[in-house]
Amino acid sequence: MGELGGFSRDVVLWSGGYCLLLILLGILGRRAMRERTLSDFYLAGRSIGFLILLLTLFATQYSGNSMSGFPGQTYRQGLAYFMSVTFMVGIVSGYTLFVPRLFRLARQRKYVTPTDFLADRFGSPALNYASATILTVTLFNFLLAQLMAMGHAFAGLTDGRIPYGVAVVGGAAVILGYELLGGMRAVAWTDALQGSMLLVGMMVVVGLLIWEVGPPGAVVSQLAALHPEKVANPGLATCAVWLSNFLLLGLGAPLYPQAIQRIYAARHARELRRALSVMALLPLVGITAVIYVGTVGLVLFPKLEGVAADQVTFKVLAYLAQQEPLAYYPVLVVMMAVVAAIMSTADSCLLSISSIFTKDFFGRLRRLPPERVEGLTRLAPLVSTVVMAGLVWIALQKGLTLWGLLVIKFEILIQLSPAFVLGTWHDRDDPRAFQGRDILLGLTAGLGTALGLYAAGFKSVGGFHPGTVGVILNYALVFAARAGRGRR
Amino acid sequence: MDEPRKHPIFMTLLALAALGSVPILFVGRPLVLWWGVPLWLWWSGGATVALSVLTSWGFARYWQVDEDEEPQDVAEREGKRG
Repeated sequence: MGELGGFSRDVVLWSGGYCLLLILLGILGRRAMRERTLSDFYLAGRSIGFLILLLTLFATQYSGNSMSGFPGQTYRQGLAYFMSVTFMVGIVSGYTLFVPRLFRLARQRKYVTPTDFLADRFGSPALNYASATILTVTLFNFLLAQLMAMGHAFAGLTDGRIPYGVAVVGGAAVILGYELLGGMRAVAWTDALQGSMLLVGMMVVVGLLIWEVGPPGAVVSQLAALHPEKVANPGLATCAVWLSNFLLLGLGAPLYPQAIQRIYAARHARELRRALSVMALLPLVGITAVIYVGTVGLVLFPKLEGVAADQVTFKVLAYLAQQEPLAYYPVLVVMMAVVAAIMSTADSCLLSISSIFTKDFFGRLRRLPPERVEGLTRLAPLVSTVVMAGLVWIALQKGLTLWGLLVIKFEILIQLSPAFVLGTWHDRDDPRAFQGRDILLGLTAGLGTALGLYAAGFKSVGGFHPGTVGVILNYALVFAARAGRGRR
Repeated sequence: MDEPRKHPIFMTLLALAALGSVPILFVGRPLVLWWGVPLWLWWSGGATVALSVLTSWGFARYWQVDEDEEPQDVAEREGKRG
């Protein structure tokens, strides 16, 4: 990333300032705490209002990967990666399936973790532990990937002035620091800061890119002349991947524990409803802008291959800053925002892992009464520290590649979809209600199918991800199990 | 309590918009550019906008919340009932 030249010194300075700001937010979060309970630490006392809720949901859904990975995918696949706009909208559409009722139940019954809902609704210890394990595996994966991405981003953006190892250890220490200080409040406020930086910076940068390179229509016309295959009508296989991605993300991403905990943390249903209404519109602007950046990259830098394609965002930004002096600071803000997005995803994952260990594993294994579980606030920092230290150690190991695990995290997570979607359909006592054993049967079959297909070397079945195939079977079996019970 | 998924017409429209975003109608056809942008992208983009606006509208229209009610009141009242 040598072309970043003059940026590297400023990135070092801005990173230092940003980290100090994060710690300050942690201190403010500490001062805003009302009581020493898990609900206050992990859910900000269920007090998050509309604006912070919107920005923290935005920051949760749009990780660093969206900002650097999506343009890279556009670079490789061409305009067909517009499917990402559809599936990012699909995530919010997925919330319509269960969130209104889940929020209401969470308020009534004081849920802290996603598994609290399953425990309350199905009362199946096996399902509780299966769910907590699936969520933990997904979060471990995701957090580890963020730590590694953070190390590479800092090292790249500062031209090695902050080496990978220092960036991983230092970044992890800062995240741990503000999270231990302020819990969910600090995390949500830092998310809001990062989300605002990203939204404002990206809009200014895209405006300047349109000024400098041309509007989307003109860029696509240039692309059609240079690489006609990148704008061609998608084939049948691409359409299958499109649909599979929509199902995978639309059913899987709303189940991210950190997203569900933000839903629990909303102050009022009215504010959550408004936040989700706005969230549904954001991909039209945010992800379309990211696709445009990838398309500009294809026109400006037509011969990137392999990992270099993933750096197309930074190449386009550096090009813009060289061409247009006005763009220097907006570009710097966006570069910092990408790093901030990685850090904010990491802090959300860490907070969720800590809550699942404390409440779902420790609290349930010890069979503690609810009031004792609420008081486990001394355990939470210990769990966060141990988890972070362990993952930093793994992230520092040489030759580690996680991409295989990252790819299948959604395919594992999505298997919990019937538990949440169908679990909120009926009251517990309703004779039509799905039961824990129905859900467990579907979950076992879905998970077995997804992992089995992967193990057998099938990365897709007719364009559909193994996880999508698994979840279709999963839903079918859950319905069949209920129907079979009704007949008996 | 009302919520979006209890409205079959709304959910059907949502599913149609999602399916409509997949440019399967354009498979095997020659590329047509309109204002410099492929026609299939206009189509998928239109369906995606429809999906986005429908989702946003669905939350606002079908998730009914009592505006005067304090969250704590809801929790306490329904806690007693439950």
